[in-house]
Amino acid sequence: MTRKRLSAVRSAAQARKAVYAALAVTFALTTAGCNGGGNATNAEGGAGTSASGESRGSITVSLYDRGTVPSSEGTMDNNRWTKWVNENGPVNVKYVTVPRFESLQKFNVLFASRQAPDLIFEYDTAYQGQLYNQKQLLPLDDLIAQHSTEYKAMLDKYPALKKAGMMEDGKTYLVGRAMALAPQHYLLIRKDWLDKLGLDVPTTPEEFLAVAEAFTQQDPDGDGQANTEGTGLSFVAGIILNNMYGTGFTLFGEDQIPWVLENDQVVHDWDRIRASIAFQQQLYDAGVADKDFVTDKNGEKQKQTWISGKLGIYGSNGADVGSYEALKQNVPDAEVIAIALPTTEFGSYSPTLSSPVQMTGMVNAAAKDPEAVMSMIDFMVSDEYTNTIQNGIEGVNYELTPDGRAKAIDPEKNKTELEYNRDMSMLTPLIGKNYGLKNKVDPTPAEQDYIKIYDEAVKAYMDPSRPMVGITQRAYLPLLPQNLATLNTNANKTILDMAMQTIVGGGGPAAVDQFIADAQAIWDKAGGAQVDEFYANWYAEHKDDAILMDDIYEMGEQMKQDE
Amino acid sequence: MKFTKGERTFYVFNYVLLTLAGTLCLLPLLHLASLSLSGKNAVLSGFVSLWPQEITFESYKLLFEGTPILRSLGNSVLITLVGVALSMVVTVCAAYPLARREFYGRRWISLAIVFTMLFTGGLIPTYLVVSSLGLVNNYGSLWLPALVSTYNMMIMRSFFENIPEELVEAARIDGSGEWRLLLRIVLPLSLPVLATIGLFYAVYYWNSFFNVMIYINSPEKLNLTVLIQQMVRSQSVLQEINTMDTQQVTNITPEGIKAAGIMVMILPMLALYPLLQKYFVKGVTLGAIKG
Repeated sequence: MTRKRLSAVRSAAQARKAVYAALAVTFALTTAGCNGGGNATNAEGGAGTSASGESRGSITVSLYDRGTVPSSEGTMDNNRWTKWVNENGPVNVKYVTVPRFESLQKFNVLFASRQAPDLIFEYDTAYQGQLYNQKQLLPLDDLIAQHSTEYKAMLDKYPALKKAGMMEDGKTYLVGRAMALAPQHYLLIRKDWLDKLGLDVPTTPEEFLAVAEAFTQQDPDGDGQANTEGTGLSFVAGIILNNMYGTGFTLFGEDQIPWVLENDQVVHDWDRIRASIAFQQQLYDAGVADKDFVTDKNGEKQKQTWISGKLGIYGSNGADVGSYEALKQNVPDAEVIAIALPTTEFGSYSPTLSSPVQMTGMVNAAAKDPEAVMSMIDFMVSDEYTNTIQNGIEGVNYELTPDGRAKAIDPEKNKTELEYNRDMSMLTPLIGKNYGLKNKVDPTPAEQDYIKIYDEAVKAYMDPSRPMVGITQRAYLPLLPQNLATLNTNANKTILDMAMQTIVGGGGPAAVDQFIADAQAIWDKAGGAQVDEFYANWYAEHKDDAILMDDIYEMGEQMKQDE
Repeated sequence: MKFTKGERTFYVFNYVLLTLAGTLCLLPLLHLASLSLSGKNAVLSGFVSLWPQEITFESYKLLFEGTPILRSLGNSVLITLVGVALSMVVTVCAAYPLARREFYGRRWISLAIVFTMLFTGGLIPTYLVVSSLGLVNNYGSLWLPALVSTYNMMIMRSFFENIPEELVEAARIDGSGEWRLLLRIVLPLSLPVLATIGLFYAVYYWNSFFNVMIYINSPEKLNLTVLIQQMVRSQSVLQEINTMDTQQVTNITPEGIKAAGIMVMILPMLALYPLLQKYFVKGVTLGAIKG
C-alpha cells in the first residue's frame, strides 16, 4: 500500500510539474500572491505555545463558520478564543472551518480527499449515521475507558449520553452534551383579547374553534376593522395542532412520524391524523386562519402577523423574547400566556420539548493521535473551557455575582468579542446556573415577562401525564437505512401535499376520509410496510436500552435536581 | 415618422407589456432595498413592503461592523478582476485560431472541445485533480478549472468568423503580422462580443459560490457569495425543530442585515451593465467594405 501511495504521490508531483510549467506565465503573479497568504495561516496552527515543555499532540478540529466574526476579531479559525484554546488546552488545535449551511458538502469533500479533521462536529444526525455506515468513524469505548476523565464522568452522570452515542453495532461513536429539558414549542394566546371578549382559555377543540372565531369576528384589537386572525395554521402552530391529537405526523418541519405505541406495539396511526386534518379543515373553512398558510413554510408570515398584533393564537419556537418585545412595542397592552394543548378524544398531549441530550461530535477513523483527540474532548467539557467559551474571561468579559452566576460587564462588547464563538461550545452541557432565560442576571422587562410565560409552559408541557407524542423524540429514533429513508421521504411528500389540499379544499369529513384512504394506498404502494416493520422490530429489540419518552422525562427530573 | 394604426396598437401593447415586465423585475429589488433601510421593528412586524419604514442605516452599520463583509467584498473583486482577465486572454487565444479558415484541422479540434460540454469528471475526481495540483485554498482553484467556458469560446469563434475576410486580407496586404492583425484589426472590431463574454465571465466569477466553498478553506479568503449565503440560510435553523436552543437563535442574521448584505452583493453587477451597454451596440463593421 505504501508503494502504491508513493507512486501516486510521485505521479501527482510530475503532473504538478507539467501543469505548473505550462501555466507558469499566466499564473506567476497571481498564485505567488496567494501562496503567501496560505502559508501564513498554516503556520498559525503550529504556533500554539507549548507551556509545559513536554511534547504536545497536534490535532485538527472542525468548526462551523457562519460569517459572523467581525473583521476586528480576526477569523473563525484564528481569533482570541482559538488562541486561548491553544494556550490553555492540552493539545495544539488547528481548526478547519466549515460553512454552517453547506457543511455536509464540505465534509464530504474533506473526507474524499482524506483531509477531514480528526474531531468532527455536526448537528445533522442523519449525516452522523451516514459517516458511521461509511466506516469513517472511530469507536470510542476503549479510548474513553482508558484515557478520558471529564467526559467519562459526564457519561456516568448522564447515562442517556452513552445510550445516544451508540450505533447499531453497540459501540460508542458519538460524543455529545446534556441540555436542560425545556419547552421548545409554545402555544401562545392573547390573554388581553380573551379578557376583552369575556372568553376562557380553550381546553377542547370545540372551544378552540369558538375562541378563534371570536378573535376573528369580534374585533378584539378594537380598531373597528375586521383585520384580525384567530389562529396560526402554519409551521409551529400547525405542528402543535397535530400534536394536540397525538400524532407526530406534522405538515410542517421535517418530522413526519406517525408511529405510536398501542399495547406496547408500534403502530402506524391513521386515526389521529384523520382527526387532526379534519379539525384543521374546520378552522380553515371557518376563515379564522391565514388563507395562504400553505406557503408559509417556516412560519415567517404568521410571526409577522403575531408581532403586528393581529393574531390571537400563535405557535412559537423556543423562548422567542425578540418577537415578544417587538409585539409589545406595537401593542403595549398585549398580554401573552402559554396554554396547555386542548384535550381531544385521543387524550392530552404536550408539544415538543427540547431534547435532553444532543450528540454533536465524532472522531475521524483516520485520526493519527486519538488520545490527543480524547484529551481535547475532555477539555471541551471541562468547567474551565465551558465557562470561558460561554462567558469569556473573568474581569474582562464578566464578573461573578454573589450567587456565582456570570454577569456581563459590557454586553455590547461581548456581542462583538464573544458571541461568534458559540459553535466552539458544541460539547458544553447546556444546563445549570449560567444557562437559560431563568438564570439570566438582570433580565430586561421583556425577559422578565417571558420568564413568566416560560414558567406557565413548564407547568403545562413538562408533565408526563400530558406526554409528548410518539414513541420517543425524533433524535432518538433509529436512522432508517438509505433505501427505506428514500421511500419514506418520497411517500410522505405526496401525502403531505394531499393533506394540505384536503385542508384548503373543503369538502368536509368525506374529503378527509378520502384523503386517508388515498394516503394509505400511497403508503402501501410505496412499500411503507417495510418502514413500519423496521420501527416495530427496532422497538421490540431495543425497548430496554433505547431512550424512550419515560427516560426523557426522568432525565428532566434529574437535571432539575442538578441545578 | 408616421405609424399606421396597426403599428401604433402594436407599440402601445409592446410598451405596456414591457413596462409591466420591467416593474415586476424591479419589485423584489425594491422590497429588499426597503428592508435594508427600515427599522428593526418595522421589519419584524412585516410593515415593510415597497417603501422603507422608520428609515435608518442601522442595518448597513451592523453589517459593516459586525461581519467580515469588507474583506469578502475585496476577495470577490480580486477573484473577478483576475479571473476575467485570465479567462478573456485564454478564450481569445482559443477562439481566434479556430475561426481562421486556413487553420488546418480546426473542425476536429472544435469538435474535441465541444465534446467536453457533454461530460464532466464529477465533483470528487475534479477535487482530487485540483488538490494534487496544490491549488486547494488558493484562488488558482477557482481560475484554472473555469479558465475557458466552451460555450463562451464558441460564441466568440462565431463572431470572429463573421468578420469579413476582406478586412483581414487588406491588413495582410498592408503588411500586418499575425499579432498585429489580432490586436489592431480583429479585437477592436469585436468589442461587442468581448464586452458580452467579459460580462458573462464577470458574473460567473462574481457569483462563484460552490467552488469557493469546496476549494477555499481559510475564512479570510472566502468571497461575498459564501458570506451572504450563510446569512440567508441562517433562517433555516428555525426549521430544525428539536435542535434549536437560544444560543443558535442569537446566531440568526436579522432580516434587515440580510437584505443589506444582498444589496451589497448585487449592486456592483447592476452598475456594470450600463457601463458595458454602449459596447453592445453592434454594427461597427457596417460599411467597412463596399460592394
